[in-house]
Amino acid sequence: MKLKLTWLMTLFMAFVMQFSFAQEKTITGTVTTASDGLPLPGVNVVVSGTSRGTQTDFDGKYSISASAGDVITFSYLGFAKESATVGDLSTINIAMKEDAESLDAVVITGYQTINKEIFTGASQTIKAVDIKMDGVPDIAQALEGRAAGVAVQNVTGTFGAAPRITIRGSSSILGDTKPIWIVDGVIQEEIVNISVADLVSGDPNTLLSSAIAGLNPSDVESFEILKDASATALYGARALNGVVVITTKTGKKNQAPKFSYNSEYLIRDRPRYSQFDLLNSQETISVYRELEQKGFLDYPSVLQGRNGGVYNIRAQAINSYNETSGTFGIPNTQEAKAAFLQPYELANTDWFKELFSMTPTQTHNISFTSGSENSTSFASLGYYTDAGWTIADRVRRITSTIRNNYYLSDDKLKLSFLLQGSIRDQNTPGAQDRQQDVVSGAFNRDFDINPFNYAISTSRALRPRDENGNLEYYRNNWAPFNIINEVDNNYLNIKVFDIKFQGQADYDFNDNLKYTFLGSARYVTSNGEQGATEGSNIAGAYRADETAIVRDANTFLFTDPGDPNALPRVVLPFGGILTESKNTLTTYTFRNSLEYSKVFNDVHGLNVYTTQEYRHADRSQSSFTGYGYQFSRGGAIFTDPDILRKAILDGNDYFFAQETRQREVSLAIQASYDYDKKYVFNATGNYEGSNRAGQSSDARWLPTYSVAGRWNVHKERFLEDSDLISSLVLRPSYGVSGLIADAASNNLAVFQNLVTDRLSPDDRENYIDIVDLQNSELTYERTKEINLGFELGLFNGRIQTVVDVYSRKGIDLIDLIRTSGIGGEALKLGNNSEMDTNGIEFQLNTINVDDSNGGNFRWSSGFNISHINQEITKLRQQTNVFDLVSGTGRGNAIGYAPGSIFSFDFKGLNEFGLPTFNFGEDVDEFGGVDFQDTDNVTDYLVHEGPTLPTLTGGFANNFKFKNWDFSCFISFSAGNKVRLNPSYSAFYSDLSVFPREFINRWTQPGDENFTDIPTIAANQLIETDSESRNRVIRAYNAYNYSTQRIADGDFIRMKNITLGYTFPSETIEKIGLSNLRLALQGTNLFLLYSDDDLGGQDPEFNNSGGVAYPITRQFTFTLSIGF
Amino acid sequence: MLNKILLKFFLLITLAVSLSCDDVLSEVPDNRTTIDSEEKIAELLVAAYPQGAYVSFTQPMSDSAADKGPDAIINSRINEEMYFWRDINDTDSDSPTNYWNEAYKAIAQANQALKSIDDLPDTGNISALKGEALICRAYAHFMLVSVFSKAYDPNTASTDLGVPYVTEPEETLLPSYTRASVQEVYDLIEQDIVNGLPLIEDIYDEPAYHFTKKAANAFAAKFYLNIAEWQKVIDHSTLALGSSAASGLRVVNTADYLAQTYDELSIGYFSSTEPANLLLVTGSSTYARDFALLRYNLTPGLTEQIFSGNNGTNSTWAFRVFGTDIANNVPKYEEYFRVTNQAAGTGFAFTTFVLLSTDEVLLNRAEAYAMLGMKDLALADINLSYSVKTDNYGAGNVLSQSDIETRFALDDPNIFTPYYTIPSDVLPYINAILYMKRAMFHDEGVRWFDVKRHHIEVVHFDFNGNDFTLGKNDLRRAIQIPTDAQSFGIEANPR
Repeated sequence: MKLKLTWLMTLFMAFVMQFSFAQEKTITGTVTTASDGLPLPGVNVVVSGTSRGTQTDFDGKYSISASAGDVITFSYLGFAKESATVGDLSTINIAMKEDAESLDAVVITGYQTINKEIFTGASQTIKAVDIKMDGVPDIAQALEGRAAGVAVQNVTGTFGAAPRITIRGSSSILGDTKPIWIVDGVIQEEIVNISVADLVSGDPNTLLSSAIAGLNPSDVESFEILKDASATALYGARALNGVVVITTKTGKKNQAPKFSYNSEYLIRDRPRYSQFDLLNSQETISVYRELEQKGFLDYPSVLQGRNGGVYNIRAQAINSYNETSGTFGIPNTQEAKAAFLQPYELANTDWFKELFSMTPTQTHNISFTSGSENSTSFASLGYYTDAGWTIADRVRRITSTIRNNYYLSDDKLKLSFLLQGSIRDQNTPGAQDRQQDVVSGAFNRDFDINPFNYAISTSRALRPRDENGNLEYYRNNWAPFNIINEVDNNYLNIKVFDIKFQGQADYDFNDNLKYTFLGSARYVTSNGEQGATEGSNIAGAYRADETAIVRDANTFLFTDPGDPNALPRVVLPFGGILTESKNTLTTYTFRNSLEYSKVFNDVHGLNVYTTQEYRHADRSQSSFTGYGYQFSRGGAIFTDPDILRKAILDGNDYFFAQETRQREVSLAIQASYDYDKKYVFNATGNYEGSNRAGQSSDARWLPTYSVAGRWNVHKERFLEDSDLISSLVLRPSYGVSGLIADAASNNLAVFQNLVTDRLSPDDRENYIDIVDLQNSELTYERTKEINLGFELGLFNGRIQTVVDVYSRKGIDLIDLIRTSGIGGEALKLGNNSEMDTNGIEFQLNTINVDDSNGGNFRWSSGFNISHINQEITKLRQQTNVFDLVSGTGRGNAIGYAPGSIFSFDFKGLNEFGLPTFNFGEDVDEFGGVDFQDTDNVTDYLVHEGPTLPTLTGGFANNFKFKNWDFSCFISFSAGNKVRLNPSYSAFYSDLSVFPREFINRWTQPGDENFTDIPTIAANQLIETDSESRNRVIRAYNAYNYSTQRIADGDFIRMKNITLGYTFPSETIEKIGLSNLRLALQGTNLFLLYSDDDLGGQDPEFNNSGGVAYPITRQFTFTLSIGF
Repeated sequence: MLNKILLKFFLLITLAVSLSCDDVLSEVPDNRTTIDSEEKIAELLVAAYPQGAYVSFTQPMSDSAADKGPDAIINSRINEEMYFWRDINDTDSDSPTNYWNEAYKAIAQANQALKSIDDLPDTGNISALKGEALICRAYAHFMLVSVFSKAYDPNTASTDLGVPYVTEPEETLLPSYTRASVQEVYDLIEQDIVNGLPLIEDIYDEPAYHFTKKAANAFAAKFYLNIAEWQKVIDHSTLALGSSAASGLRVVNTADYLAQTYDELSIGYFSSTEPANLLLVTGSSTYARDFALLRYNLTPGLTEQIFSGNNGTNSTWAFRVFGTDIANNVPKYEEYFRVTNQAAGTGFAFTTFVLLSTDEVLLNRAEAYAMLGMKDLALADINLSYSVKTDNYGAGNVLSQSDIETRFALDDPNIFTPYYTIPSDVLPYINAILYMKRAMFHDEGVRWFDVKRHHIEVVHFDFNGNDFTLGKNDLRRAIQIPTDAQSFGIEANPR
């Protein structure tokens, strides 16, 4: 096949060389603006139907060669396109009219720049300037609500972490559902590949999940969101999840050198307890008293238990004996003990105040543009600094872009060079990966010190400092803990260095044929350093062995398996733990493409584009954990060798390294024919190859294709002169797109080396595991899509609507199948499942009041809304209960949308105040929960809804009055369900916090008739045998995942309000400036609507601890200067 | 001019890229291993042993388990359901389904090794590896057919449902399989043993976890015991035991041994340096944690019956039964817990099992000798076995043929009813051997296979005194095959 294509290309080129040139003359002229008659530099002047073109110079003058009868078109962003037919005269002067509609005149697909009039795909252009949220360093967040069909959920506000973005729903069930990002024509790969479900995990590697975190938002010119199969056709087998094309700024020809500087100061609001319905310290202590009555918080267990709060502090005091005075810290009497608790009862600590700061972030950008006849330049330097929303965070980033274009050989040859780099230095609280405990149905994270999570999950009766102002410690993992001390002693620092070189050469063989070469290389490295110093709670936990009880319980101690009678002992006697991690990404892209375009007989437009591309991406990940690193002793290393034995026996790799290699080749051809720009027909074929399956050549290649048409009805004679309808377009398309699923790659059996899990290290051996048996039928995941687009422009484009309706069928999607086991693999991944998606997207842009006729007031609006309906129609995977109820996006079942949430069917409290559920017949309604169950579980679980919103959209209004501008933007989203934070537990401690509704909990028999809030389980219930203990734990976790703990994800958010003032040019010219603007912006201001059940929880944010923070209300002051 | 040069350049690049595509796309995408050497085939075979527990479900089915009542500390569903011989569809570790999956996983590893061997020249240790692969494949199928089918009986074996016998790596997503007859499975096992055994060499780094010559012969002897090929049992047992059988046994009656702590005994039992352990496997299992505390296991009554009093030699067993009433146990296991989540304390539990031991081989040989009428040789093996397991063993405890015939005489000749006839004068020997095995291999899953092979009726009582009987030919002796396999068209065992 590949040879055939090569032949075709050669033939094709032989064919195109046959055309000869007509007789030409030179046309010159001046282009001015219609409104004030000033010359307009940088206007694109093109001979229609050819690729021959030039731009006007400073004085608006141009010169181009054309033949009589040729049509010359003049285009400039923000102005209506003009055209003139070459006649006898050799001078053509043009006055251009400003026009909002023409802003969207071209579609930049990353491969080609196509005139929108003949573009057959569904896409949406978004200007960065329209959506940019000042001061926010990652522009992906700003896409929320802006594009129809694009669901953006800002699941975390931490810098570097990607929002959850899906275009037209998730296209894969187990595979990747993230769209690909194209920056200046090249795929921008993420450093680490994180599934959409894991974006909410809060794990440290989510800090690297945003592909564009290294891109300065100020450098971005525009977005193009490619949605249907026709729009994404050239991306073939990677386009399943849609494509977001980002174009960065560039200089314009014949432009005077211009500097612009802007600085942005962003203040984030501190979260407040008033947002979250939590009990205050007095109420909390009263709950602790009940705990005490129920047999918890007894003296020995709070003194020597794993964790402990105020009761632990009190027990420490009782336990402390003063040699000199001969007294205990406090006497062991009821009165003294009660008195001791009093200051804590009144503490009502505001942890948000302790841990959060309102220090503004600063963004400084300086950019330079200039252009001459033969070259253009753009250079920018950006600096972002964030002293931290919390005391544990800090970010600094420097970005730089240099982009030069050179026009040689009479503009026949254009060379572009792009250098983009960024350096990022970020501190976050030390965080370990979150673990899923499927047995009892919960997520856990060791040593979580995320300040946000800490503030809403730590008792307000605890104090950061005692009466004397000293840090007050309580107990965590058998060791002293104080959050302020801990964030200083347990940190994660990552440094990311990202550099990209890109070069492009465009050569016009003649007016019709253009060759482009593009080469791009990018190298990203991220170095993480996680330090848990000797002063940290982690190191303390490794050293806690004060009593035999602690020693036996402490899992951070080491027991020698070779010595059956050994006692647990400390194996980190000195220093702390330093973990170095490194991720690198090296990518190359090379592309050759050839574009032929010609208009035959003035009406038959033909455009043929062929391209061939090679992509190469190597990723490496490694980490090394150094035990016994003495942070306070200049890094001297003092390691007890047994800590390595402990690490090995626990199954913790104290170092690891791995590499992944991605090689992709794609060959594509696109042909587009139009009849007088009235009827357009487009066909694209793509042939994509990947090394995903390694040495197997089966299914290495995937052909995809699309066919599409476009009828520009407004060009028909009956509408040509209509005053009402300025444009009317119909766009049908059909196509197949694919995805190389990373999840399965076993065209050949996949082997992996492992080490046997035998008790004695002496008995261990290397072994090779067949991770995946061969699946010779494995192929790409594919989606077939029909899209019908309808566009209507009224009143000369002042009202514009776009409606797209689509239906997609996902086939050969990867599925996890429980097999007969006989082949040797009980669970297999294979192309088995199918999914249907239907959706509708609607956009409306209006210019309500126009100022072009001399008025000073302009008001424009943009509204978009889209609805999606997804259903898995074929699936063999038996999803376990935990994935179905936890709402992290892994809940897949036939008949429901991918990533649905289910709930346990809460039945009420029983006579002991314990939660009961309907688990179906013959299953214990209290203890019958099995989080690992996979057998017909949807029979007894209640379907709640999808995790992805089914309805999304936004409403923007922009006002301009004289020098003032004002805009406000509302985003909304609906149709999804949100799992409430898991607040209930089988056992609470003197660290626990309680939601307000806890007041109404079951306290005495009979209460079950009035309340659904379960009681505090008595200690006796928990302390019995492990089986019944686990039953209680599971039942309370089931309550967290029941119909009681779910809310609608619907919200309407006042996303953004901006007020700006631009100084009149006459005023500032006197001080040598060309531009001066001040702006105030408020972002995420408030929720106009959200479900009351959320109790202050943000419907978008998934509080998972680690490095995840919610997006908060923020205010930005921006100063922009041009000179 | 420039045009032409560029055009040629473009053509050249097109051609070059297109031609090199396939090479580039052969790049291995991640850290997967390529099987390209003898050593790597050996590493494949490390996992060609079923890494799962069968004792967890065979022990409660046997007559060595009784009900401790509701005070028992661990209530395990598998333990309870199997005690009442019910069909279960649990898939977690320690379940029959898990063992089914693990055994077929081992077979897949062996089949892959055999396939990879074909691609390499027959040099070095290749043939030894081929031997190991064949024996591994035979072993896993033998265990599957022993668990999931009826006991071997040549009269019905050609129609009895066996298990699918897999000899090729699976290559498609969901191929279909069918159950071979028990006879076919046994024939194929024998064929693999016959082909594999002569190739085995003792080339292993961790011999206790592989089919050494001794272990392979021990397995062959066990296989032939099931099909009553007595001479072959003797031949293979003798090879497995080596020239001096006595030196290879587990000695539990020395003062040093008796002075060991519980933990020392536990770890020592499955030690890779214990010469009696011919084949060990570590599997994902919580049995080490559970076995002493399970509700349906060793009750005080059974302790009395199995371990107490005169063991036939006028002395007592040297085995030490630890624990109180609801936790009676003989230490044999120690858990290895690989932590994956320190905060929640979750991870994977592993238990090491003794699959083949010289102690068992010796008694298998004794059974074969007895069946062939060589009572003196049978007696010698029985005495040898007793000599290392009996307290204060001395000359006075050595049994004579008449001791056997009197002390192990059976009132009811129909207790043992294998498909072949046991001559009445041999019956006391068989009784003695099975009695000894029941105590020696308690909590190792061996007893169930003797119960099955000899069609011993089992009566279980629940705590309320209700009795449940598993008849001699009860269909439930063949554990039901996994429901997932049934859903792919694998025929279920009749009920």
